[in-house]
Amino acid sequence: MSTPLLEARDVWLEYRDGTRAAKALRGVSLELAAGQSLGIMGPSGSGKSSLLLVLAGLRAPTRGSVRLGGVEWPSNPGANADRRRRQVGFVFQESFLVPHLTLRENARLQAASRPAVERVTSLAESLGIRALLDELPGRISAGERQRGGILRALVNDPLLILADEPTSSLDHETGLEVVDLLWRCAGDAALVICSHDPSMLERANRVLHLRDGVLSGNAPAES
Amino acid sequence: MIYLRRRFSRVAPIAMAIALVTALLECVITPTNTFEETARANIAGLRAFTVIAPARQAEFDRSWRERLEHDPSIEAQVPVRALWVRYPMVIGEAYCPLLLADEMRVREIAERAGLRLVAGRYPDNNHPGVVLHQGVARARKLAVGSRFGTWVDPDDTTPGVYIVQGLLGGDARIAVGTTGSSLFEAFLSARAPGYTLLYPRTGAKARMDRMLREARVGGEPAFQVIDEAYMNERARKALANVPVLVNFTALSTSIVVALIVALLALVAFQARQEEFALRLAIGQRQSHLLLELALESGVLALGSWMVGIAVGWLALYSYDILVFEPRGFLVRLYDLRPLVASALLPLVSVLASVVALGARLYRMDPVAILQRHE
Repeated sequence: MSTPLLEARDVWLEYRDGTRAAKALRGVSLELAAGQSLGIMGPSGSGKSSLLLVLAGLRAPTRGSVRLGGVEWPSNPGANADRRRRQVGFVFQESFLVPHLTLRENARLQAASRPAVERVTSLAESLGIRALLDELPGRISAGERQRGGILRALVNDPLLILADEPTSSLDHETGLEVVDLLWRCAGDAALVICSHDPSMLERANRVLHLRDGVLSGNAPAES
Repeated sequence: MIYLRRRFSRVAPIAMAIALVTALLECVITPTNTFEETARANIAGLRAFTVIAPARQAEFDRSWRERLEHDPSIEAQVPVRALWVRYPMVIGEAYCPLLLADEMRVREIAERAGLRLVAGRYPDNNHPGVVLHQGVARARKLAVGSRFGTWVDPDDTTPGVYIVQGLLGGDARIAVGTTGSSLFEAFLSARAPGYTLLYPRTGAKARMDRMLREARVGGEPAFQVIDEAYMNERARKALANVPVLVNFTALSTSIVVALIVALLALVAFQARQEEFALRLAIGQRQSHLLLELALESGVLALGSWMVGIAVGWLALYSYDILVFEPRGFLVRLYDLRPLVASALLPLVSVLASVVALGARLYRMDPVAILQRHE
């Protein structure tokens, strides 16, 4: 494996609710190089979303560390906003497009530079939604909205793309199309996709299984 | 700004609150200038002449009369009897001067004061009585041919009886009349103090007034001088407390409305919670979002304030035509005071909204909100 772009070391994540504590991640470690992809499978509540949040720097691990591009995420997620905006593209379960903004304006929310703003149209072309750029999310289909979410995530040409069940609100066929687009447009970025549907992860270099916060398996995905 | 354009209905309650309260403030504050305007109108005649009386004598002695006759700033001296005509204001009463003079002088005094006859005729010895400013006549519900005075109504404050022979139009609110029959003149001399109107030569009014103020007898002022400056100072002192009322009204209203606006802003923010959670999650800074919210609040508040000013002005304009003018109330519609006083409203509203939204934004856990949605 080449030099890791993303590196998680013995990551634990604990949610506290008063005196009760629930462990979402238990000693998770992983590495991912630029241009590689990783699929994560697991049942609902296994900690897939929590893992992605920690990898994105949106949640600070209770123990352990996460490094992206050799630099550790700080313990305060608010302190890494600029870096997260530039280096991480997050595709959510739902598209989470701002309803009163067009697809173009939604994409620009994440654009951190002028080249990124200028990239919106060409990227939309590759995603097949160029004609919809000036549409509001309420006027397009769920699949098109999810492509809008991918457009936003990719606009800065990020180092790391994280996709949390990006096809869960889509039918199987549209889901496959969306995942295919993700793979095609990811370029040199490291890509992590969580899904409970194995067919969505067929093209991943590796697929790991997450159960009760514990990551297991380290083999290339079977095609 | 895009949100304001595309989702205006969500912030419309805020705009309505600011606009309506601004209009209300304007409609409450502007009519209080009626006190200044009425005082100004009652004083306006004194731009054309000055009224004097000897300060320490019953009448002018010969030497003073000669000195005044030869003073280069004085054009003429006109003996008058001075009374007041009471008329109702928005609150309380005002008094306009009633100058009673020889019939030959009545028209001259009115025209000197910049007034013109708009109805009826000037009084003379065959038609004794007064010409009265039309605003005062409307306020008193008097018309040509009406009579007023203590002989008509014992509650009136003008002694005697006076027939309205004509109505005057113009800035100055005064009444001018004849002293009438010798019997009535005798009655007046007992009740109406005697004064002398001094007409200045062209461009010499200030010099004449200064000379009159500086004139001394035994080190004491020689004249009681009733000029524009003296009356303005009296009006200023009488109205000194009006701003206290205006400022209190504006401040208390602004604070209450600002709190309401802040609550409405929080409700509107609640509807956009996911948007802000998402924007924080994708790496936009809290400070950037707060600045955007502050700009939106500022534009909304400023726009609503301007609409409120326009609505308030239109309401006042209509009310002036329908109510104030027919009652003879003088109200200046172009008044800066309500603008300044109500300007607090958008300022305090924006401040309260930004503080409330900032507190909410900085406490927000974007991930928790997004996960709750999922």
